[in-house]
Amino acid sequence: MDRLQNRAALLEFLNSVAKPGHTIEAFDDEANLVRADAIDSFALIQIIFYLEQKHGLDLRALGIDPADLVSIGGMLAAIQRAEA
Amino acid sequence: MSVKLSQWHENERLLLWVQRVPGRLALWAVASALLLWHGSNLTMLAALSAVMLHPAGRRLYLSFAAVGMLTSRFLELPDLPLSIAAPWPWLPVVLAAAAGTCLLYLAYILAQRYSSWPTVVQRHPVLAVHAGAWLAMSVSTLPWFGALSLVTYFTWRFSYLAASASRGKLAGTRFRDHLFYLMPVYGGTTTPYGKGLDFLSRHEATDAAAMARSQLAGIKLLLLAAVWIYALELLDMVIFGATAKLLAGWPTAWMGGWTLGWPRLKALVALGAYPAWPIGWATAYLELIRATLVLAVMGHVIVGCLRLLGFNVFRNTYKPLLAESVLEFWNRYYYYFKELLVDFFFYPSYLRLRGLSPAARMFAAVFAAAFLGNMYHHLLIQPEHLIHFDLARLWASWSPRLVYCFLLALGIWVSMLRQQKLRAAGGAVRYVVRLRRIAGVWTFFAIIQIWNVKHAGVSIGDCTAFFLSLFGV
Repeated sequence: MDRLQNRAALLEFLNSVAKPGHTIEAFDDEANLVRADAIDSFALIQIIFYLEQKHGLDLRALGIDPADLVSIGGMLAAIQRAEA
Repeated sequence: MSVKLSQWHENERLLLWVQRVPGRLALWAVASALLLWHGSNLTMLAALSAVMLHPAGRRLYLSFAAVGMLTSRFLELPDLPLSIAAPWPWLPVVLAAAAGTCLLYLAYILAQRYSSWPTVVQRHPVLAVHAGAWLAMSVSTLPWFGALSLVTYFTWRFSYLAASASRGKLAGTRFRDHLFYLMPVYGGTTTPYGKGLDFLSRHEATDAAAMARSQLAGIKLLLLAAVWIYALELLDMVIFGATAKLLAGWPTAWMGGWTLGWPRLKALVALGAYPAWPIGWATAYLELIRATLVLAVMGHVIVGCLRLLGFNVFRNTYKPLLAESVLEFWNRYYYYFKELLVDFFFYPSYLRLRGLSPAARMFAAVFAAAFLGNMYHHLLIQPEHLIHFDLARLWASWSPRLVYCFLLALGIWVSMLRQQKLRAAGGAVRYVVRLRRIAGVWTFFAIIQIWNVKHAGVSIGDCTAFFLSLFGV
């Protein structure tokens, strides 16, 4: 999958775990989604699970801090590293 | 753009005004007055003044303030090991603070050289920090080494430093970038408010507008802390019959000296004198409100200071009594302690257990954090029984908390599973349903805190007996 396809699939997933009333497309790639109250820390666990299942991401092996996954850009960067 | 009254600190005109000289002066005066009212030390006031005059030098000034804080920390020690230098009473403290700063520098150097550590340390950097801390605490019982007991204050801060090192995030950072959070002038407990450099950097103001936004948010928190102090005083006077400190007794005078005069929960549990069940329930709920207010006051002052210094970090306590799930309450009640447990227990467990089913993985990670991590943290801050291997006293001191942590972990896990289902179901929630959920959260935490009362000699049996008395048993 290329970056655009990854992004589209990721946004669709993020919308499914976002807090009611929030649309993920409204945020730019660098926005901190937790700080913007669009997702909560529980959703972050679901995001990790999604990245592991869909992209084979291993945060421990790659030394990625889960806190880096609070923005769309951070998640895409992690996907890129997992697929490299 | 219009903003709600409660969001006055986001008012664009106000934000612009405090970026100009008169506005900055007014902001400094208000902030200083509030800090003095809250009992902040002069080092914090000096640090704030320096940061406001020259924000670019923030970390340098905060590092100088850190050395000042370290000095005052040594002044608090009952018997300084260097007291032989009697002719110069200030000398032992200065030498001890200098030695302390050197030790912090050593920690920084060790973290910078992460790649040259033995493989086992590289694989478990946080465990290595804690092994070192326990070793230091064991040695602190020996003559001349008493100051090493201060290591508990630094253990989690070193853990954040080690975690940063293991992720390769120390490149390009200097000692000053770490000293200011290792010995924070903005205050804190063994729990590091603001976490480590990674978190603080993400929330650091980098321009005048962000600094103004951060500082106004800080002033709002200090004001809110003052409001909660008065609310707490009112609660203590009217409900618990405490003596007035700030309100000069006007609430009880206004009510003709009447007060409910109820005992605190810890007294009820310790004495085994159980009231009628409605009073018992009321005491449990009121204790939850009181504990929330106490924590909110402390957290608002510390986070308020952080924000005044230009780190616009999250509040430590954010409306937990409006939480609609146990999970949400846990996230809002004591944010930086929860983050500590999540960072050092939840995520490491969750990421390690990839082979388990999602529910089992979640269960293991939640229990690692809310049960094991929570217990461990409290053993770390009061390690004396463990250091002396006094298992009888260890059990007597901490056994009720074992029940508390177990129930907390169970509640969080169940709440996570419920949240997953609710999220999948979606849809709007009626007001009545929300109220019912909030009441459920209050009841859960009011009950489990029975096993978290801080009173010497209280056993699991005492707590359980009080719990049963709530149901007339």
